Amino acid sequence: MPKIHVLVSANLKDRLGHARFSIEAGTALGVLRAMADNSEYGKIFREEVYAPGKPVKAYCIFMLNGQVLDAKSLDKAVLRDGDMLHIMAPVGGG
Amino acid sequence: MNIFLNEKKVCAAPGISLARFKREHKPGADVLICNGAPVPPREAAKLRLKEGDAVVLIRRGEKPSRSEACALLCARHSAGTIAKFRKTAIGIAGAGGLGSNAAMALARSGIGRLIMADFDVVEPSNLNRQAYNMSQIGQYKVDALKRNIRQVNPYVRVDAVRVKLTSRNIARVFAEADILIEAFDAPISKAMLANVFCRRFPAKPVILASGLADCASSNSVRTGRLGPNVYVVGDMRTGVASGVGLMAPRVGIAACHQANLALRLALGLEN
Repeated sequence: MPKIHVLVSANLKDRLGHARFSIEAGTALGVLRAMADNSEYGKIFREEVYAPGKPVKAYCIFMLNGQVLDAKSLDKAVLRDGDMLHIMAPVGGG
Repeated sequence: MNIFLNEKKVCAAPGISLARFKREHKPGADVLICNGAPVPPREAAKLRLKEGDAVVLIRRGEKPSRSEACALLCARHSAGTIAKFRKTAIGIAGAGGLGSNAAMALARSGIGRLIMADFDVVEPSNLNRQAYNMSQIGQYKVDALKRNIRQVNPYVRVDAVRVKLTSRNIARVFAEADILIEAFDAPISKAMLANVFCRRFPAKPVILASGLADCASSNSVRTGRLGPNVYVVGDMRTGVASGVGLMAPRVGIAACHQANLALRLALGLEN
């Protein structure tokens, strides 16, 4: 399985406890599943980003190596070793 | 010899000074610009004009024409800078605190075209941070904003689009924008814009905003880059919540971060 670098936005970092993660998964959706299953921060990840069996939270933006990924095609995005997945959850106000 | 006065060709005596040229063409002028550079009136007698020089003469208190307004901006920022701004179309999705303030900053800077879209009307509660006034309550925001822009720079092309932006119309509304500023309130709308626009126009820069509520430190509002064409402004943390509202200074700071980044992108300074 390729090893993926995951970077989360500051508000998610505050909740998950880390800004960077190293996850082994073959697709972007696989990364989210692995994070949702994590014993340390999985519960919060499921609340904030993705819970298996449910759609990803509509307020999230996913970027793979700097390119925005459609939430519907997260399972189609095949990953390679060293890829960077950025998860951003914007906060309200404008 | 020929001199371009306010972009029109006029004949002048060879070697004429700027002071004499002014006396002959616009004696009351007190703002003198030669080839894009302001000339203090006391130095006008020493400056000899040459064939093809471009001179702009403006009388203080007088509303400048399009070419005079452009010349004034060029004198401040250089002709090359203003030429790039005038060629640039900037889309603004939402005309609230971020959108209205970013639009005003861009209009003052001399941007060529603004494509602004919003469905809402001005409410009294907007006036604490948005670029509207009491007399505009009840007006569509994009129409009110267009009028306000006209008051400071009537020479910006403004497309005021009264529409609720959705995943179905964002690409059409902003198809002609070179750069897009996201100025929505709701996180779900911010994400929708990024997801739709970035996939449809991956080569066009998008400037998102996240984290500008309350009165936390001004310096925590930052401009960051998430990808080659995706930028985000804000502290990424401070969202609107119960007891945490939006205030003019921090919203304005974030809006000006967005506007400044748009100008830098227009100038090719962010590559």
